[in-house]
Amino acid sequence: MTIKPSTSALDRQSAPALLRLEGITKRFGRMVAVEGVHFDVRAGEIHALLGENGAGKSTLMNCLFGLTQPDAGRILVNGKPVNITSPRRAQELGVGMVHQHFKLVPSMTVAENVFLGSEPHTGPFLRHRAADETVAQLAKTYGLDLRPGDRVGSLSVGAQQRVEILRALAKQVRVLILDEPTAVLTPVEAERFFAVIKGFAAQGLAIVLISHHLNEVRQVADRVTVLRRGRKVADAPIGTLTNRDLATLIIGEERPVLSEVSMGKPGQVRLDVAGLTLRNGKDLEILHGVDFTVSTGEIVGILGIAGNGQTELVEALTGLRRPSGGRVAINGIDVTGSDPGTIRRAGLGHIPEDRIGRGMAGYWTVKDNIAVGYLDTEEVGGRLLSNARITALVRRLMQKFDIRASSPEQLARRLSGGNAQKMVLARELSRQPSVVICAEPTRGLDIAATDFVRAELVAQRDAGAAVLLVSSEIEEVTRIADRILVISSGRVIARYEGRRPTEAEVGRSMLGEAA
Amino acid sequence: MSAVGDFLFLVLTSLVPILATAAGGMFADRARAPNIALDGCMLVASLTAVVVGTVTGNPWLGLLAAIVAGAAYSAVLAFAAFALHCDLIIAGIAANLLATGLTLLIVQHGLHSAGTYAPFGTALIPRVPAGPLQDVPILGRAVGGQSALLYVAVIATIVAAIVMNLTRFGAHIKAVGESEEAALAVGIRPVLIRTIAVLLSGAFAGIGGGYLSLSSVATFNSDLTGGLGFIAFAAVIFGRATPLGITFASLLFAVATSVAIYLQGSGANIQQLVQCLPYVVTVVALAIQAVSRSRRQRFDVSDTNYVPAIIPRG
Amino acid sequence: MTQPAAPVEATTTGRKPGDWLRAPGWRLLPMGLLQSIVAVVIGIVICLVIIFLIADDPLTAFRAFVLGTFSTTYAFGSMLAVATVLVLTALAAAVSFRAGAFNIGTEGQLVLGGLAAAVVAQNTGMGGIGQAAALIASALVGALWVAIPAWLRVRYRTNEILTTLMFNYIAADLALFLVNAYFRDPTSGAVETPPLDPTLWLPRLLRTSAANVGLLLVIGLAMGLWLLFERTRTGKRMEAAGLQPAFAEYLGIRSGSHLLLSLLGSGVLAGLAGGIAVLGITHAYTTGFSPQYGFLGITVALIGRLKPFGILLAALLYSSLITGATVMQSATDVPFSLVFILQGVLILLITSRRGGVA
Repeated sequence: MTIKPSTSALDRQSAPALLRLEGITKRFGRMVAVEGVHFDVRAGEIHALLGENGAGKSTLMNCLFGLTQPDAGRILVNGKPVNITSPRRAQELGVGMVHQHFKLVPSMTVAENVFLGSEPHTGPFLRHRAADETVAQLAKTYGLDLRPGDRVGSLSVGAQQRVEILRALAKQVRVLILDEPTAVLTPVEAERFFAVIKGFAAQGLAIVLISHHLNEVRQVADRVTVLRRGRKVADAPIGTLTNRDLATLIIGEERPVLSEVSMGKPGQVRLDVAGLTLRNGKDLEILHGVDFTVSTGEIVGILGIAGNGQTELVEALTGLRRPSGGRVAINGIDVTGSDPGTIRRAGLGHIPEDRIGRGMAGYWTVKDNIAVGYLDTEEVGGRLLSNARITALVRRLMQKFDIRASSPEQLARRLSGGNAQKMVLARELSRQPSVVICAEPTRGLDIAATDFVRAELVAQRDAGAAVLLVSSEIEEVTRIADRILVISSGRVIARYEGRRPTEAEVGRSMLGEAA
Repeated sequence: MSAVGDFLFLVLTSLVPILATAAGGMFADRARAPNIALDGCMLVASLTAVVVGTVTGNPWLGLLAAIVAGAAYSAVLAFAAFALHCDLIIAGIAANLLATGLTLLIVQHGLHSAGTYAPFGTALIPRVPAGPLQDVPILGRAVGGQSALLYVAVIATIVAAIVMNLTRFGAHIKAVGESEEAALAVGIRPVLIRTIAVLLSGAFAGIGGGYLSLSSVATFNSDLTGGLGFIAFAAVIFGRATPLGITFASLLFAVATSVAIYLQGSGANIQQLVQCLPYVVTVVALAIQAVSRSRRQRFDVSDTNYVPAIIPRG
Repeated sequence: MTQPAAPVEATTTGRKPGDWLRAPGWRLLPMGLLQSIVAVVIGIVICLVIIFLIADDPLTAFRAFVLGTFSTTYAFGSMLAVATVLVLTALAAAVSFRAGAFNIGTEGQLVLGGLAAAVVAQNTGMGGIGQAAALIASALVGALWVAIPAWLRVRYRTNEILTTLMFNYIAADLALFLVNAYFRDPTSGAVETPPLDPTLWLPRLLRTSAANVGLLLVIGLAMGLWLLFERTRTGKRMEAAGLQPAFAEYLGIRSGSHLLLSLLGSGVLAGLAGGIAVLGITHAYTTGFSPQYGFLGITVALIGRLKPFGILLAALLYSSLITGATVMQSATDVPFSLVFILQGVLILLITSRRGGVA
């Protein structure tokens, strides 16, 4: 890695592309993830890649890093076409990637992690000192605050990320891809991080920054490319686009709300959340004083990019986590910190985010999965369970909820995503609970199943349920929710009441841009 | 004074099979492929040791054969776990049962003995006199006349520690055991590493097994190990699979065993009761470890569902 | 070996040695009757091979092994008696495995249960009352013996495999001590309790054999457990807790108390097995009265796919092989230990997940 003197902005713009992706197309089955995308990377430039979830950013970068191969198009390194068949090959070509989920060994030191798999050695023995020295040198060169002898398990998240970055740098990369790097950093660490990568760019490295946060991108990027539904919709220097422009590009043109769903008629408050706070195992605050209510006959949507506290919020409300402070009441009963059984008895139905891990027992039959929700009733039998009654109940619900399975005896793990979710719905909603909490209910479902689930939620609302819909899909929430709360970093940062906002409006809130 | 020395002598004697086996068990455990069939490996190894030692007239060849046998038997476990995809723990339990049956079959059919095989005139592993330490007060009595395998066990543990902490292989074992994704990401192959680790644990257990049948009396019966393999396994867990930890844990369990033997001299009735002391101490050690671990961790959410630790901003 | 899903934390987690020793029992058992049948067939074939290799007269040996149980009324009766005990230890293992825990201390629980039965029968009245009291005592003692490992597991997540195993060894020593100190038969040279009065023996089913009324009792128990598993609410909840703990938690099922109950129930069944073995077969507590009934029960439970009806069949099958092996040992030069080899091989074959999971 030669250390070039810092280049001016003009120089950077006219520098030849280190790496070029031309006409990249990738399909997964019938779904087109990326289509005809051109993307290039220049030395000394920080190039941001923006787009919604599912827009194709990860797929594109996976092609670049050798985790997957494009169906069409080509990749050129220094003008020469190459085949990047594996991460190893990518590394040989000078491409490094720092993933969102770190791949580190906690009990080993920084140096040991950086050189894992390619340790400096004499015979079978490790050369710890050589590794330490190299790491210290690299850290100094790139301005990364790291001590080679520190145990990775004891480092802060920001420091662990620096270890991952150093590992990429140690392999002499010229292009560094960073996937949502600030998602795990505190604001202070994020600032430091920006300074560091600007330093990298100054040294001639090319950086690709995948991010959701417009303000961050504005702070560090030189150029930005926006992907939407697999296609490139913009590629320009950052200075030529405002945040509003960017948000519009990411989400699409302002469309009037095409919702056939009528507004609900809210009545009595059924779910009352006041000042809810939550600390995680490392004593960091994940939820900061969340307040809201949900009444009968309305759907309240909590919208936010995944990872901003929604999962923890749902867990705190449903008894799977104990909140650190605040109050939760269902039907007037205080259920703060209660166990799931108590909360259910107070009147809760819960469609969990983790369908397979939490929502069902894969090795059980459809029959058992549904019947287990009725064990506290007479519908499944008297003192002893009655197979006949259970089968009748399950068949009835399978028809009502359109669960396509060969029979009630089918193993749940064999169901398609849509049918599995309908099975969960059947168990949770058929008993008409007064409060329904659903998290990411249509994730991974095809269009038919998605429509069914949404229609069912609206039907529950109209029958008097108080529905809390937690989702990261803008379209879903704007379509069926009567009130929308936008959550970011564990706080409610925007509320929409009285009317349905457009997707663009809400999308801008999510991205951190004031409406 | 001499009583203390004598007691220490006992401790060191009891230490050998536990420490040697635990040193090998450390590899398997660190690679996250725990070998709970150590007892079975020891059993097979000790039978091999005494047979080969008798046939060749050389106890060291017997020991070598024991090491090979231990490794070979653990290969059965590795095959079951990695080729047949059995659950490693259940396969280990099965392997232990199989070992009992196998050794019994060989003794009864191959060696034509009802249950115990006690060949006549087999050369044993030599004992090492205290030599220069003879006149040192407690140490002299403790060390004088110990089987050479004590030193082999200690050296084996040191070697294991060196391999674990100073070699590339050790680094790869730790990676595979703690973060399979990290290992895969850099091209390390978990199945290969785990298989080698399991084979190593079997080989070390072979030392322990060889000690049981070739150090004091050349004898074998299917109860020879008396659960020592499981105690060694517990020593690995209690010692958190670190070289220092397992040494300490092995010493602890060796002391318990020695106390039991020591107390057997006194009071005929209590004799049988104190024989279970090492097992009781093992349970207590595991319980203490579990209690202290549960105090430190806070189980907010159930195991199957991990939540990404997102640190919010501002 | 499948691990629980790796944690998806943005930071790395430290894995401590011993974390993964808590695999739910279901995960290791690919569902499929076919696998049981294939495993048994392969197992017997392997025995065939061993017999062929070591026997002077392989054909006689093999015939004795497979058909020996039908050779005399006594052999057949023995088979039923052993099956009786095996059903109980297998049910004990099944109850525990279904709950997601490995109680492999059934051997110790059964030994102490048998001792309790012998002692109580000796000291209470004659006949039916004595028998009932003895059996109840054996069940209670079995539960008591699993109580500590069970509580350690439920409350502190202590690895129950090691603790129950250690308790096996402790039980053996404890029993030896107790018999020697308090309950020994003064007229006998062996370490055993005095022979029980014949009125305390479980009534025979077939004359001149060890088959006894215990068989009816265990069939009843098996049916009762079937009812529990398939037709009661508690049974369904227990099954959920053992099969998918996160799902059970989400539903509001208290996994902890269900697990404890299951383990205690497992101990009860194992203790009872000891009681029936003593009252029905040996008629006194003798050291070594159990030819590894506890571990054999684990194999039977796996062959029977943890279902009561399957266990009944599997117990009969395995017991036939055991009786056959005894006959084979007396008639030829093939030792009984073949049965223990078969045991290990069968467990490996039955729990193998090669060829895809159901």
